[in-house]
Amino acid sequence: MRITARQLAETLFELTDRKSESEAKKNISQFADFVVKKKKLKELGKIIENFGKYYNLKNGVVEADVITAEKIEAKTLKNIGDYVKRNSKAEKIILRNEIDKGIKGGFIVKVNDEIWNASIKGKLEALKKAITT
Amino acid sequence: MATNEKNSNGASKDFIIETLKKQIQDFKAETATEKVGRVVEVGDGIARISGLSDAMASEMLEFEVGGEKKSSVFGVALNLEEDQVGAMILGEYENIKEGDTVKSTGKILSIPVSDGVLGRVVNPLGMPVDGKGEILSASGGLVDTYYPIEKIAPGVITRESVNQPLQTGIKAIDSMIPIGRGQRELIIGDRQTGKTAVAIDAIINQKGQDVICIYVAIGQKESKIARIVAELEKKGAMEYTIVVIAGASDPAALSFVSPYAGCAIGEYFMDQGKDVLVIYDDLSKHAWAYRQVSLLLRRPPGREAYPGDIFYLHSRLLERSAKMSKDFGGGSITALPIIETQAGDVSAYIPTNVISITDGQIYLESDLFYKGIRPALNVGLSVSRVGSAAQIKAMKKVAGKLRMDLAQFRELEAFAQFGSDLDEATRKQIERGRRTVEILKQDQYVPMAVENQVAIIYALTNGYLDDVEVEKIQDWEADFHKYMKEMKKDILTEIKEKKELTEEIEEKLKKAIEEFRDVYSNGNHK
Repeated sequence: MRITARQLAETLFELTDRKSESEAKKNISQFADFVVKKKKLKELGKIIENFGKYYNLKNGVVEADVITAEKIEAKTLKNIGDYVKRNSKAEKIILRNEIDKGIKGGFIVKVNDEIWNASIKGKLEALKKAITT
Repeated sequence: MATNEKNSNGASKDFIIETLKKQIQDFKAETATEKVGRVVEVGDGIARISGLSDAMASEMLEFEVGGEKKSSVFGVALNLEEDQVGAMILGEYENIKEGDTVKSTGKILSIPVSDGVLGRVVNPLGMPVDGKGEILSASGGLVDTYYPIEKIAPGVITRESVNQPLQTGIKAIDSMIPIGRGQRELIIGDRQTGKTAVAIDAIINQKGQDVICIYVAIGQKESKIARIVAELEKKGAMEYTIVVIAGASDPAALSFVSPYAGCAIGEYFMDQGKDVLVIYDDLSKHAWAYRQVSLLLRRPPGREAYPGDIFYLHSRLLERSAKMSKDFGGGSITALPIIETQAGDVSAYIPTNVISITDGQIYLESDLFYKGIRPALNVGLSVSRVGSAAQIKAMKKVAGKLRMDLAQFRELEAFAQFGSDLDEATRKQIERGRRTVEILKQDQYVPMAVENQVAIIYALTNGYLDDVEVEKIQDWEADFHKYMKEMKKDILTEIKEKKELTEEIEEKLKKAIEEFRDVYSNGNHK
């Protein structure tokens, strides 16, 4: 059967999770040999991407993108982070702040495949929809 | 005086502004989380999307197309996999890029339906394509009724057995392969055998019969569709007809959706207690479209590379044709699916499937067609399993003999070349058969009312045509109908109203035919 990048990533996680540094190193080099043997080297990018996702899932880490119209204070960002943490029951949260003048005001939070749109632009669009239909 | 200015609705400017203000004030922008996905792979009319973990099967998805002009294209989720969703795109997929966001709409694919759709040409998403403007509801407003394109067929409790005839206006069909309202009758045959012609004649004949017709073109040449629409318009049949088109240049996804869309429109009218006739032209192309979508979605191929659920694809569609019982509105959907065979092979995969689903088939043959027998109906292979229950009594009475005459003729046909060596009875039988075949010939676009059919078949089966030359049969028939229409209209009306051939009517009919025969032969001898 074909081994998918996702399966390889999960294996890599099992090989390194809660292992001593020397053991992990040994396992990783063995894993690398296996990948080469199975001719999956060109899928390495995908494996790493999947590994990141799987690692986050296992360790309760959630990555969130916060999009704002202007640069916001660290304190506000933290508040948003806390809110996301509460809602997603995550243990740790990694926040990235992006600036997009197009949203006019407010903010948009993207967590995994969920979007929390609290931007002025989103509200204006909702208003437009409510009036025209 | 500006405040007192009235517009056409009689509302003042202030009133409108106040209403708008109020609307804006009352508007609460609620922010809720939305599930979005990202396009991972796109091409050939399908897309693979990551995320969208809450997508439902056959849910509408909205692709946000980037670029200068922001617009959205809809798609339908078909494959729900572990971490991906496979979707077909309904519309232009050229502008969708990898990484575009996709939103789920929470709605199963539905199309707008209203009475305003009558007489229109629409695409499988219910949008008009005939350039006659937007489709409005009966009250003149925007259409707000939506019907899902996939719906579970009506259950046993809600149904009734077929008991009302659906006259196609074609002598051969109405007499020997009768179709009832709520029946599914397959029209099968090679290319160029007149399958569509039979269906179009059936539509034209529904004028004044209180039947709404829906013609669904699946992967057809647009020139052919244009010709059909023009012909329907010429015959005044567009008033009660809806044409749903997915042309040959439309994506396969639209061809796949179109019969279901046509059926959904039919259900809208059936729910109002109306009778509907739906023609699916044709289901072989529908199967091809579904095969394409399925293979692109990497579903495993089966026989002839069709996916495993190809039977269910057609059975669930045709099962939606029904005759509802009185308690459930009494409406009906009659389906005339069309299947194109390759070189007369009815034992191919799709033809056998659809034959087994439908309540009978009308089998058209190219050999007969080239012999000049049009409609090129093979009476031996064509059957109707439930329609005879719905046939009017008068027709039942005259048609029984017709079928027998024809069957005997076919057995004896081989001996016909021996000519004078045959005994009297056999020769007579063959002569009768030749005349029967002649009478069952009928031109395109001239459907015949059932009372006329009864009259001519009565004349035929009772031997009144036996002494007319075979070449002159068609002229005789034409003149006979003219005579009946002008001189003996009361007999026709009586048959039409009583639907029965009582002894009294039969006597009158006999007399009329004899009178006509005398007039005709005298006229010819002069």
